[in-house]
Amino acid sequence: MSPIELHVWNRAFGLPSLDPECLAAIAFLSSAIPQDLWVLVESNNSSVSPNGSLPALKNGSQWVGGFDAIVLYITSQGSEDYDIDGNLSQSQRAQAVAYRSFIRKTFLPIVSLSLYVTSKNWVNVTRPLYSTFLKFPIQYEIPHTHHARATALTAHLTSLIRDIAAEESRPLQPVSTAFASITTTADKSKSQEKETIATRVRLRNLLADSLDPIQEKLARQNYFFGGTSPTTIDCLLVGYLSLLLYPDLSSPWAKEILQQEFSSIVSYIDRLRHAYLPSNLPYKAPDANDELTFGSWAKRTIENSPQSWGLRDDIPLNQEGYKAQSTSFWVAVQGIIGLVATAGSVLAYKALTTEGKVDVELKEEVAGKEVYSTVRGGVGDAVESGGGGGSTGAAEGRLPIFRAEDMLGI
Amino acid sequence: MASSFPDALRAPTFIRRLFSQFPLVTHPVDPHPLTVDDFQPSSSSTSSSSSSSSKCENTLYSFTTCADSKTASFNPACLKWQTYLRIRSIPFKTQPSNNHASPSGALPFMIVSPSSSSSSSSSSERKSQTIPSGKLARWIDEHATIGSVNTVDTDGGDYRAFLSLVEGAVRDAWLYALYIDPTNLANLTVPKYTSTVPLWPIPHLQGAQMRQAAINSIRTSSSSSKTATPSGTEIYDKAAEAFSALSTLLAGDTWFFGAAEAGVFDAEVFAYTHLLLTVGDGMKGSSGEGLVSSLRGFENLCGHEERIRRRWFS
Repeated sequence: MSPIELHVWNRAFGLPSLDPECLAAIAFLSSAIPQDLWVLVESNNSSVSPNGSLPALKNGSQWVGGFDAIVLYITSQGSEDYDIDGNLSQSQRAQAVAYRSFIRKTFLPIVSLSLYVTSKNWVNVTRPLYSTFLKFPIQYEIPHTHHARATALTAHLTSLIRDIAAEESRPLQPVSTAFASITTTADKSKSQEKETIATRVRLRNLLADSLDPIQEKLARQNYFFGGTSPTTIDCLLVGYLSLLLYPDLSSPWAKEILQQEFSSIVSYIDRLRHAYLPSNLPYKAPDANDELTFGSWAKRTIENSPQSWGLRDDIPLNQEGYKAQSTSFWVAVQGIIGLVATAGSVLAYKALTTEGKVDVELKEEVAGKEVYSTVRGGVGDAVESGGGGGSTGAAEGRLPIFRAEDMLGI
Repeated sequence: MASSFPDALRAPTFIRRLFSQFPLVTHPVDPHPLTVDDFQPSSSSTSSSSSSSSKCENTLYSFTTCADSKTASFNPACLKWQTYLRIRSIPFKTQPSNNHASPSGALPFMIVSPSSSSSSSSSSERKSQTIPSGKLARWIDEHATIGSVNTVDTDGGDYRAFLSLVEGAVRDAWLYALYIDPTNLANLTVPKYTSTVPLWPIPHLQGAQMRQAAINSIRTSSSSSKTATPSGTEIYDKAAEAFSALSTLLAGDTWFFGAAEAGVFDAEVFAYTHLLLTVGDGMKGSSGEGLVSSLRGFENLCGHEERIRRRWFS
């Protein structure tokens, strides 16, 4: 039996993946099942996953998407050794469910803020990182989507983001004018320093707000629920916190605050990382079908475009609903195109088969100037009017003959 | 007076004659707008203890159908605070309202008249106060006549973890069942929220707006990183898992976290369980039916809902 494949986002920052959930899934697999039963695939292709996001697990032809589903699948699959939450009591299991939601709710915005929304880090580190492993047109779309999602997740931190941005832009100011040394008085720099400290304090409070409960819970234990082996909560924590702790960023506020004030958490994460996110993980190149190629990317982009353009915004009952949604959209688009084409061809047919009109150019000399006027009329009309002989008045009534005199107002 | 002006500045004769046709009336000065003190002079002059018990000066503006504080609101956020106010036995009345009325843009909010607060001695506190939902918890703690026996640590890790579970998984499922499921939206949600605007296209449009808001809210609720697309079944599964965790947490206790008296967390859970159990029959045949039946499977959660309903809402 070929080993189980775990499809994740690319390695980065010395970690096996750039996504917290992928890191959590890697930590889970390396703690739950023997090393030779699974391999890591950096497919970067979220369309392989049944729920549209990595990590995704591939066992033969079966696909499982998302950390929670992977845990459930692996646990139900093998013997009881695979259930790393197996030793937990009933109430600890309930707590695990609650802490899962707590960790995601509090740390996902912080990770997004640190890696994506802090503009210095995004411009200098994270954005260039995507270009190293994605090919030409794709390297513009995927980081953009991830950045947009991170911005949406940190929407409630707007004022903090503004403060960070203001702090970052400050060193550039003196360069802009020659009078910088005159305008930046000592008083001003002191107030700037104060602002920097204020921002740092707010960031610290943001981190402490979510880390304090974790620290309190850890309290000199090796793992979140005590015991001798990690649980899924430990996996999630190492996934999220290692992305705060290990990347070398231009604006390393998360790392500094963690190292200064949460040394017990730092040593806890260090320990877990060495044990469960080692650098010698087995890798495998993705299969041809799962690879992120221009074709597969374009197909997914076109399939998702009704949703991403906001033309179809809905959450269907199951994942098939998403496919049906975009299919129905494209069917409708095809229908409209078909209708337009039919109408166009009918009109074209009519235009081509009716009697051709001829342009009659009248050249007259009025007040010493040559005046051209064009009259359009059916051939039959001309014949009729010519055949009528005396009835020119009637022909004039039928044909919108344009008289040059009228135009000149004579 | 006119004589002191130079002739050039005097109005022309015909205009003066015209204006003299109309009598110039000086109206009496308008009084200042009535304050609550002017309106109820007896409550501020006499001792306030007798009047505050007989009258309800606190008004909770919420999505509700009538002014009786015992009638449960049909919006979970409003019902949570309504329940907590009832639990702490603060006298108040409810006022049917909508988002446009709220200073913060969200319901509920509370307007407190000065005479009800015990510390209304200083004149600065004699104006009526508006309290948005975010500050209600503190206000209730400051103004409740009896101290709460519920001594749950609201900063504790477990408390916040379970709270995030209710605010995340359970709320998402509620939004999905009531707003995104088209049959429930048309049959249950829209008629309730737009009962005051029966004009044809408006309820329909508001329904579409509410639905879009629910979709956006579920999208940004961080149950998933990157660009995952949640589906209804996943949302319901998460909620069932959350109910199971909450049921385990409650176990055989009367209130959550083994407290001696109900607290904010009980109110929060009640807000969802009560509404899900009451609208349950209306959801027959829709996707939310499974959610309600999974909730019915947890007897202690239903018992918890019944305890609060019997004691404070009947």
